[in-house]
Amino acid sequence: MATARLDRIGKVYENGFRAVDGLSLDLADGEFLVLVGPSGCGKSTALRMIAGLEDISEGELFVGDRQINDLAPRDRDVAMVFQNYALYPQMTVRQNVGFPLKIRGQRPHERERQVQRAASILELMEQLGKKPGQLSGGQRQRVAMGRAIVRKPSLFLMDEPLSNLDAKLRVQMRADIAGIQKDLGVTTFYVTHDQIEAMTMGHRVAVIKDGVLQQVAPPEELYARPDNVFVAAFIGSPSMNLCEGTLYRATAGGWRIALGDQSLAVPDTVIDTRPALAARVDQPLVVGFRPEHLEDAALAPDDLLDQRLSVTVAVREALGAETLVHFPIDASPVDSGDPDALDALGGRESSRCTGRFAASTRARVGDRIEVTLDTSQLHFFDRQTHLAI
Amino acid sequence: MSDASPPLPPPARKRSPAAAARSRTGFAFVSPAMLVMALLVVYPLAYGIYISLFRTNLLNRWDFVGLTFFVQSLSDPGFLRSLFITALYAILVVGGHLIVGVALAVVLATQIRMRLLFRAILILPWLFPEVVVALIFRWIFDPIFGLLNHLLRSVGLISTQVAWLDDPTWAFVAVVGAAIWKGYPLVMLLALAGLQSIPRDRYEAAALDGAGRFGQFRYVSLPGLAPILGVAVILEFVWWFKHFTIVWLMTKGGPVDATNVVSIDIYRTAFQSFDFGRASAMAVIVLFICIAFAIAYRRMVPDEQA
Amino acid sequence: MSKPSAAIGGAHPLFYPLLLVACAIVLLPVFWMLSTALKDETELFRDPLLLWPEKPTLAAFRSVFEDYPFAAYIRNSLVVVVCATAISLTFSTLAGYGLSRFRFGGRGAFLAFLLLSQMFPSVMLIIPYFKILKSAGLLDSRLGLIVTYVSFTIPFCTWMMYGYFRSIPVELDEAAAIDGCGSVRTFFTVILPLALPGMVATAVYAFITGWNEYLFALILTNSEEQKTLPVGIGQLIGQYRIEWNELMAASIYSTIPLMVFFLFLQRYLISSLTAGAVKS
Repeated sequence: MATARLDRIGKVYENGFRAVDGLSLDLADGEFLVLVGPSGCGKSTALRMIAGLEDISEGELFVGDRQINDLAPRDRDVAMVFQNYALYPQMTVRQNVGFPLKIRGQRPHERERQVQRAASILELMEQLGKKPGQLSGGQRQRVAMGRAIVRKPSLFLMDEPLSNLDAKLRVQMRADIAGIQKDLGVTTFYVTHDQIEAMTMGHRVAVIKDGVLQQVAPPEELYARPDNVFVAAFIGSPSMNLCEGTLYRATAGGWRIALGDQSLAVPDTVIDTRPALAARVDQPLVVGFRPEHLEDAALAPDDLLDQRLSVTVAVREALGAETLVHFPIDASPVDSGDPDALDALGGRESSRCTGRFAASTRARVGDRIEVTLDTSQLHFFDRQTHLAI
Repeated sequence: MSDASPPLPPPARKRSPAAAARSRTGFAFVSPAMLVMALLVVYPLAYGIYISLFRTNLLNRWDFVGLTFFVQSLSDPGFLRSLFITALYAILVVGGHLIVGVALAVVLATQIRMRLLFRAILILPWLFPEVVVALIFRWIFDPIFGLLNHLLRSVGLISTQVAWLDDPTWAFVAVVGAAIWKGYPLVMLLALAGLQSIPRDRYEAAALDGAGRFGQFRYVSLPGLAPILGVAVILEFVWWFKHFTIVWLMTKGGPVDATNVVSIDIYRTAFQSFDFGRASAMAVIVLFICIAFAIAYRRMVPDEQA
Repeated sequence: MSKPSAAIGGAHPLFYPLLLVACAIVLLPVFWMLSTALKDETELFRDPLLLWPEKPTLAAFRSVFEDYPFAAYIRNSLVVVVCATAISLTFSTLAGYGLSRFRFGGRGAFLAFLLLSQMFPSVMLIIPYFKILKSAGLLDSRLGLIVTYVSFTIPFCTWMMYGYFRSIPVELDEAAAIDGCGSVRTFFTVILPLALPGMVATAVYAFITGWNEYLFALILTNSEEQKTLPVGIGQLIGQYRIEWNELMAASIYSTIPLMVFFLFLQRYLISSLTAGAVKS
């Protein structure tokens, strides 16, 4: 049980490439922190530096009060769950789980007790005599976890442990892992590229892009108040809709937002709560709105009368509980910086937008419909810096 | 993200203590082998080069002659001829291995009945020591009691006994044949492994595109095999270029130097003429040829890393 | 063996005849070797030739021991090759592991040298070895041969073990490091057990190489007591009248160990040979 602190940690390779740059994080005792970002963003490298598997080029690493930059992995009192599990193929489950204890010289009797304890937490009692080759993916993953928890380390490190499992299993394991961590109360670093895992499992989530920390905050805050365009687009599925827009004063008073050739009213509260916005009137900005804040106007004919878009439905996905509708709007698109993001739907002049409509919507592909957009929920970002306003 | 932070930490250190320790550990694992090789390979190699600079009988006569033997050998038609013969030998043998090995591998990679039995039989030649191969074939080629003559006569292809190993051309053919017989299984196994690592869907895609059996071989099998066979070809060529045993025991380099591969030439110079300095020089020349070939080949086919 | 997949369409009808021809070409010399070994003197030099002895006999198999110090040959080969293999295997396993896991000064050069050493013509090293062993008094001795054989099996074995270790995921080392193992413990407890198949294959290749070796043994030994099997067999051909049946019997003796190895270990041998190759 310990706190952990990264102080401007960096990793530079011989050819000059910076995998991690100035990463600073502070973990409370027992906290579950998720490091999330697209592939290649440096999150695994950061984790391996904490484990001691990679040298730290810059910065300092603390566990508790100790600076541990130069300690070998085995002296750091950390346990790690690898993406490919890294189980010892020639040993049984029992031997795999008990291995760290054996190395530390525990007696067989005591070892067995700990192994049994870990096995019962992870429901591996039946598998103890088997070898990894005889187990399913999910079972192997649990053995890897067993090996980690049996030592009661100061820190848990998990490197995308669920990415090799199939979807249904992943959902179940997410809950299991979160539950175990809560019961054991061990400070945990969890790395993933899946933002759903990040949002559901972490006490706090740190979004990383190109080795640089974008924002670290509890999931709800990341969702509701993203600090920049990248975080806004990365968190949330389907992604936030982003395009260029201009805020201006209506001739009759009040505020309006121009998105392409369409214009919607904007409540005064939006400007009042964002003082910096007032200085950006009549300038192009990056505007974001989440899919759930769009709705088929036909289903709520009396709402948000002055906050409507006229669009043509391009794609329709009926999910059962709701229907996703995709349509282009005539506003300039924005590149969020996520290498895995989809391209614009219609081309370079229009932005692709997604709305989460109620399942009762009658909108079909090709229909020209009215869509309500709750402009009180708009996000604004600077066009150059992509920072939130 | 505060601005009033303490000054940046010092720039990245050249090597952390952990990396240095790992480097030392790695060196520790490797050093026994390195030491042995330095003593048993590098030292003799250097000594061999040293010897090539002297006219010597390794006992009491050591006359420094510098590069004389190199110059002499490179202008000696006999030595050049043996180099040519050796190169021809290596090319034919390796070529034979490739053709036979790949052909058999292609056959063995398909759904044949009793595949494993055929494979076991076809690997047999590899298990025979070179000495044994040389002797068996010499016995088969024997002029009077050899199996070859007997078989050919009984089907009427020849009427008198042929002394195969006494004829320059046929002796060469015989040693090439024996070497191909002995060595093809290795290439066959490598090709087989290579073929089995080619994903089946490539063949399916080719078939859908209209490729017949031969087309599939040409456009899927061969390119897929190229990396493995590439390395094999280098090693094989060098191996058979320096080959000694089979040729020596079958023909001793004759008749009339028809099969005088360079290893035999060097052997005779050293251990029959006792001209060790010259022999060493000839060996050094062979060494350079082999290295040059390997380098040239790697240049030509840069996509594999050995 | 994994499922065959060299082309769609299964086996061409021409394949079977081709295979049969190939097998015939392979088996004919083998058969003739056997047939010759089973003949006695009178049947050996018969005209017309006897394809199979009328009275097959094991006399040649016995007399080869009586007429020549054959037991000594076998003993020498065994001792030299087993010792050289054991020594090479030990060093090369350690080195192969070090090369595959660690970066250190000279690593690249060492790897390049390993590859390069396969290019050295045996004739090139034989002259210096002759002189060196002579000076050290190790000519015509098993110890001298062991040293010699180690010199050319070690580079090859190191290369093979290097290739094999590369196929063992580094993550296992990392997990062991986090679990508390130092380098030595990681190697012996975690990685070495996994390397056993590769070690077996490497040992067998080293054995086969040593068992077959002719040129060095020819030059570096001259007393009958010290000669190895290939040399012993090779010199049976020097006489005016060659006892082919004894020669063939001797050949069969020398081939048997390799056949035995192959019978029991073919899976290992083939898969490790090809695994390394395919990977590279």
